[in-house]
This record gives sequence, structure tokens and C-alpha cells, in this order.
Amino acid sequence: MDLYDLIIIGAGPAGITAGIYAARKKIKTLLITKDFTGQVGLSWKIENYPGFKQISGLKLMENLKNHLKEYEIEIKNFEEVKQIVKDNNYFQTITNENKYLARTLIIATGALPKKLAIKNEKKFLGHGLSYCLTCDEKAFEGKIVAVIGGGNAGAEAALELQKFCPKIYLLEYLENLTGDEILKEEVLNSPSITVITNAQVLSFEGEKELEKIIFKDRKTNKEKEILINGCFVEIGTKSNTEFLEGLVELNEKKEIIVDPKTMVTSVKGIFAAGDVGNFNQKQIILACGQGALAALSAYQYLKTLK
Amino acid sequence: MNNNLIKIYSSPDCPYCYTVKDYLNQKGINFEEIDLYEEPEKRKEMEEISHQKNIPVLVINNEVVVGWNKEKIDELLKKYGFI
Repeated sequence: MDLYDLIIIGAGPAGITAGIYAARKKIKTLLITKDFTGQVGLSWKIENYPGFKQISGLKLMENLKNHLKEYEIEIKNFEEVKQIVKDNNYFQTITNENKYLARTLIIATGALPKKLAIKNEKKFLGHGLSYCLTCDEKAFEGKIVAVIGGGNAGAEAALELQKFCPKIYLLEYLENLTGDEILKEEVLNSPSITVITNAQVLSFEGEKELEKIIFKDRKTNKEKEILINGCFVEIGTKSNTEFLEGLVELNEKKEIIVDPKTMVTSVKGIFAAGDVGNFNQKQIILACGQGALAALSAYQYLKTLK
Repeated sequence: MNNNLIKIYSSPDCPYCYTVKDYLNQKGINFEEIDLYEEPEKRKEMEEISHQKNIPVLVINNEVVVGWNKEKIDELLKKYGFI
């Protein structure tokens, strides 16, 4: 089994930044990832990452990946870590294809969009329902669409859809939209976006193609419907920590509990960074900073082992 | 090596399209890309082939994979002798 000083799991902003920092410290590093797009790749446009006034998530990920590849770092792309076993002073990292051994780990597996899990969701996936705005928005040109989820991602989706769609419903479960003020203002001032709050979505309906969304108005407890041709879902994310159950401490949201001073987890030698951690704010720029800090802490920790 | 063409219907900002193409490139497999942003008239063809509207749509020997589904793609690549 190959032995590394450090294995980084995940190649979002946190994992890639950790990789760059580790490579510059000449740590023998392996980066294992399922893909190089992740959650950021789903973002239509990013306007709060310094140095780029506006950039698509996919383009930013491509830039980060190319930057990483400038360095001497071993990468296993399209491999998924299934389990980690603590083996004396080493961590055995088991993927769907191989096993690797490391002295330290940085977990940067991020989070992925939550699914709704409501009636007829599977039936209409690809028939009006999509979880990827940047993939499928052009299929709804000139149509009436809904976006479920009134956070930043939902607001951005609704604003983006204005370009192609005459009418957009934005449905939020809570009493108010929850995103950045600048986005809320833009959404509320848009003549083509109708915001419906207190909306608990119950089901998708239609014959072959999606035709309507049934939801409960949480204030009046009455069922209502809207007629639409398409729907995008942006209801938040879920941390990718299933393979860590029983190894490191997780909070009730299944995020890794991390010491923000060093990024160390409840297990000595395992660090975590980015959206997989129990940080209140999930931002690309913060994930990068956490990745850098995790790599520097891993470097300091490795020095104590030698 | 099977010389039959593999086709992917994609668009430039679609992350799953990027991942599917990245995967085929890593395996050294040639494919034809139909960019629906450049050729919107091909959307109808894509919907007829896949019986749905979402992308990416990957066509391997007339069999269709919608989305990034590594297991299914591997299965078809093996079945038709691409790997």
C-alpha cells in the first residue's frame, strides 16, 4: 500500500487550496476526488470572490484545478473514498478502487444539494424538474418556471431565469427570503419574479410533463397550486460525511466538528476544511482560507511525528 | 478499440457535462460533442433520443445515459469495447 504524508479528500476550493499549500511545503501528498466541479461548479455566477468581478462556478473550478496542476501533487480523480480506518499511527483510506495509507488527512468533501423527497419528484426529473440551473435553464426559454428555495442560490437562480422566462415563482418555506440583502432587493424589485413565502411544497403534478406545483400555505394551512412548465430546486446542501460516521465527531447536521484555530477534528492528525465543517458561514473564500490553514496545520503536525 | 462514435449533448456552463467529458478524456476515449448553446436546434433531437429534457446526455451505441452516472457509463463503455 502506498504511504503518503498527507491525503486530501475532495477537490473543491478547500481541498485544492490545501493541495497548493501542501505541495509548496513539499509534503508527499495525494489528493483523491470524485470530480473537480462539486458544489461550486453548479453556481451560475460568483461575484464575491476577490480578483474576479464575475465568474461562473465552473470557470472558477477550472482555474483552481489548473493552478493545482502546476504543482507536483499526485491526483486520483473519479475515485470515491468509502471508508477510513485508523491503523496505529496511520490512516488507511479505502476508495472504490484502491487503498492508500497516510500520516495525516484533510477532509474537504464539501456538501451537495439536498433533494426535496416529495411526491412525483422522480417522475418529473427531466420532464420539467431539474437540480442544475446551469445545465438545463435553456430548456425553459419562454416558459413559466418556479424556483424552490429562497436563499442565495434560489434568488440567484430566479434572477438568472429572468433572462429567458417571462414569469418566475420563487417559493420559500420560511416567512422571509434568507439570502444576501443585495439579492433580496433585486428579487423583490423584479417585475417578472413572484415571491411566495411560507410555502411548504407538497407535490409535483402533471401528465407526462410537469404542469403544477402543489404547496401548503403555512400561515393559513390551505393547499394551493401554481401552474408552471419547469422547476429548479435550491433548498440548501448536505455535508458529505457519510463515510466518516464513527471516526470523527459530527454535529447534529452531520458536519465535522472542527477547531477553527487549526482545523483539527476530534481525531489527532485528521483536519477538515470547507463546507464539510461546522462553520456558520459557507463561502468559497472562507473554504480556501480553511484549506490553507488545514495544510499548514498538517505540516506542523507532521513535523512533530519526525 | 471500438470505433463507433460516442456523442454527448452538453452546454458550456453545465458542470456534469464537464465531468463526463473530463472522464472520457482521462480514459482517452474520443467523442463528438454537441453544444446545445451553439446549436440550439439540436435540443429536439436530444429530447427525442433521451425521452427527457435534462443534460448531459451521453449516447454510446444508441444507448443513453442522462447525467453524470459513472457506473452506468463504465458499464456501457465495457459492453461496447471502449475500455
